[in-house]
Amino acid sequence: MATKWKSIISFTAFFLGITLLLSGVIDSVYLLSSRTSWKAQIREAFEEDYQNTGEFRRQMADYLENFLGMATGGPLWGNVYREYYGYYDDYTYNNMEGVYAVESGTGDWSWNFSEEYPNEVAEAIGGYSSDYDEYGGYEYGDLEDSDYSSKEENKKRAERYHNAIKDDKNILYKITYNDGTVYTNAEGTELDGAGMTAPKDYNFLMYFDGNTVKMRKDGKDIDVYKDGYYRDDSDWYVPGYKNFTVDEETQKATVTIAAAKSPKLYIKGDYAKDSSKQLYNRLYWIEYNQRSQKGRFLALAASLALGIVLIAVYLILRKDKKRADRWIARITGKIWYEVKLILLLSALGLVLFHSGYWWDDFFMRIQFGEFYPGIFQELFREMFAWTGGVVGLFWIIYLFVNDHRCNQKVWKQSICGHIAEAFRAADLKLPFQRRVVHRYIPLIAVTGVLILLSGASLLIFCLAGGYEIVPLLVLMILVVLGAVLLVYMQMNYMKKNERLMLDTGILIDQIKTVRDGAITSEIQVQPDSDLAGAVQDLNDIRKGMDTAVKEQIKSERMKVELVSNVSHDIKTPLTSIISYVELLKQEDGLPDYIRDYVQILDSKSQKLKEMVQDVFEVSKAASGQLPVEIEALDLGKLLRQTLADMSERIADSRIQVKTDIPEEEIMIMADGQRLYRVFQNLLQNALQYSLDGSRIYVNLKTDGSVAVASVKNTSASEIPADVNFTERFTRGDSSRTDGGSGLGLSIAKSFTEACGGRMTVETIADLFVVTVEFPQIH
Amino acid sequence: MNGCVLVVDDDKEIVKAISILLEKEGYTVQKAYDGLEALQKIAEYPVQLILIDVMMPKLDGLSAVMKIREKKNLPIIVLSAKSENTDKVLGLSMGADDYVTKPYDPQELVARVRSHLRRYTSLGDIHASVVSSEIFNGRLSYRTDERVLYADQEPVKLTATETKIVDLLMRNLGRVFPAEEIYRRVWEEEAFAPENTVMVHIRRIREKIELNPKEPEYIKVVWGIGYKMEKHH
Repeated sequence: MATKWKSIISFTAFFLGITLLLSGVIDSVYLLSSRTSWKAQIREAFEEDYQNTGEFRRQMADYLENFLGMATGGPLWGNVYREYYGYYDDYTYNNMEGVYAVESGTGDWSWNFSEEYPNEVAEAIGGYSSDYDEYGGYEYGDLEDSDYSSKEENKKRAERYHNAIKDDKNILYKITYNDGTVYTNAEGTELDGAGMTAPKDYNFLMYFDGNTVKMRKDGKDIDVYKDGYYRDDSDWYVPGYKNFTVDEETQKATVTIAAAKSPKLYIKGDYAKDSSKQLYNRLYWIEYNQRSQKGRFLALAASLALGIVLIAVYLILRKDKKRADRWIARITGKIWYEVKLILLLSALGLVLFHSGYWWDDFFMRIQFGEFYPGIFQELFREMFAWTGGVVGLFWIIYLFVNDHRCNQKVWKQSICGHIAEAFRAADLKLPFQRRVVHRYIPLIAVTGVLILLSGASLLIFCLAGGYEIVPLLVLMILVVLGAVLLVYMQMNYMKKNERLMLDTGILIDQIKTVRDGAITSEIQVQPDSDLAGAVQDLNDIRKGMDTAVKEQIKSERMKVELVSNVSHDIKTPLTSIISYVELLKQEDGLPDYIRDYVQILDSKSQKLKEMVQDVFEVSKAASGQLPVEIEALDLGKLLRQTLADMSERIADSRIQVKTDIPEEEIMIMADGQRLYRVFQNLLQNALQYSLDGSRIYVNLKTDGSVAVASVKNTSASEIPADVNFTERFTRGDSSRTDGGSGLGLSIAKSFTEACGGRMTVETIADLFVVTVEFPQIH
Repeated sequence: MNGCVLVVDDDKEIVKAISILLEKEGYTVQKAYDGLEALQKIAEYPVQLILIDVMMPKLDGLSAVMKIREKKNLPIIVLSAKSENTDKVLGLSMGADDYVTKPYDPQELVARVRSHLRRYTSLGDIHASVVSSEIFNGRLSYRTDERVLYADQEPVKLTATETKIVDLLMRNLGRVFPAEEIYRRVWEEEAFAPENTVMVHIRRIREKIELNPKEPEYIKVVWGIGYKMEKHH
């Protein structure tokens, strides 16, 4: 619960902090990037006295110019005149105060550019009719058919201008020409230019004596001209500098202007002609704008500070904010990717094109070849003019990036993604061979469409003879797009085929590995591979084999354990039997028939003893647990030793042994003791089952690499067909009455194999042939 | 009174059978049916040889052998149903002098008892009559100057050829001789396929010196190479 709230607080702090900071920064950049330096702007906004601002100085200079025009009967230009020159630099942003005044609905912007507000003033200054059009600019336009050299016309205008501004008592003025007062709104006041006295509440006085301007503020003279030359950065644009003089007629004029300490809003009810109207009130608006500008700066600073505090809160809880990010990403992850993309692009478009003016201007300028990099700066400024838009765009981008960062493969959750997924799923259900063929259908379709499009464009070109340019162009573009798509698809197929071949190679290698017996190795391919099914099947086969082999090994081991336990359990009672038979044998005075019985008991118990040992050994050998000591030995010598060892038994039998064993050494690697058992068993077998009077042939041959020993004998009884003689407990005679254990050949075979050799049994009619092969060493 | 033998086995019939066999040979027999009882009997009676089974209740044979070995130096023959070489090696390393697998041949067992007892009781004699020209090998000793072979201190009657073979093998304990070499050095002539001849003589010698000629301990065949006299302690 606590973490949940932490997440919410953290994210809220992040959201509000970023929003405040971002909008603050954008506002600041926008505000400070205007005409005057940002330092001067801030300084003027926080200036206590509105009369210390540049705006005030400019306005006073304007008044002076207009009044001099009125005094000398010249044309009036006023503010408009200078605005005109400012046109190309920064016409849109030239008057920040004006912008806000327009926004507040009371500003003087409209005085400059609107016909509905103090019209009289506009008309007065030269019959100028401005055309404030929808593009946000105005044209230097329709001047009336007026003659500016006409003293009559100029006088009418001066009259109108005077009537328009005279009731605005924020300034008092007195204009004289040839020592006669021409215009004044200061009748009955103690306004005296020459004496530099102004009425109470008017703390600023400006007096033009025909050549120079004197100014006095709060009873102190202002140094207007400094070193006497006018420069761009001079405070006052008034005549009287060494490089700014006046003509003779102007020298005859004097102008006295007093400005109010705190301007007020003057309204005149001109009810006979019209409704009540606000007057020019220029100085009031200057002060008003300055105050509101200060408020704006303070609000901006406050929002920036709050933003920083919130960001600090977020930084402390930034881990919890990540949880909130993930939570948001879970929600956004469910939205189709196309929707998100459209949202992002439209937001971007809205911010970039929100006024539309810049783009028109941009294209117009390109059209006229009037292109310069600074135009992008203007775009930047225009974008920044819409703070809400930019901040909104930021958050949309944030959501988009967050979505990409927290969710994997965001583009899969989309209409196109779902369609592609559905196709892929349907594709995987098809059998492999059809799937591979099906894959080429889109390629064929695209190629077909491309051919049709090309044909259509050719047809249009031939029929229309080159006049139907637009449809031809559209078709051509489609053909080019189609060709690009085709190339892309081909590359895609190439990649897929390459992977298919690679997977096929892996599969083939694995089949070979499994065949070679490495049944523990497993392979993996991508789950969406065409051969994934086949690979899985092969892995299952391999696993099945592995399990079977392990089972077999386990069961063999258990068998050996069982045999070992059983033989041990048999040995103990057998020991008693043998011991007591021995005692019986030593007993004197037994009748002969009892002695016969004891003889039988003795031989059978001895037989049992051998069999127990044999069973134990053969089971060990069969499971590969027979210990062997491999060394180099002479197979020929071993055969001769074995025959010598058994010479007594051979001599006792009615069977001859014929040997063909080469004198020279035939060396092999084997365990001599085990191999002796092999040949002992083979010879015993042969002696036991051979036809009386027949011969046993013992041969040893070598081809230089393999030594082959064979024991051949003629069976006394018929050899049954289809019997594996090396199988345990197998005998030629199934009645099991001949006294053999049935283990002889089995032991021989397993011992041979334990030593690294090979033993085969072959029967040709009654001929029984056992062959033992060993690789020869040199 | 040839000596006192302790027979230890949890199978009473086996103990009884061995006792009868040994008593017939003139030995006194003490019986025990587990390891602990065996230790008690050893403390009580002047036991000269122990026949002990491995798998027994209370205290198993090998542990008993280790305990006995801490105090006594008498011959111990281990009886076991386990026939693997590793079991034999384990038994001998625990301090047993001999290892006989069940089911044993009763005659062979008696012969082994006799052999061990004779060596144990007449140990002093051997040391008294040490001759520089005498070669010892387990139960056997061969006096080179007299060219007489003793088995358990009893002179073995050998023919001239057999003596020559024994002389060769006893002077080269552990060395493997191919049949050709034995033939050449004993008969002093080259032979074609002498295996049979050599083997016949070796079989006869075995019958005179081995406790169980079917499983010889001294003259052994090294299959595929030749013959040798196995080295014993």
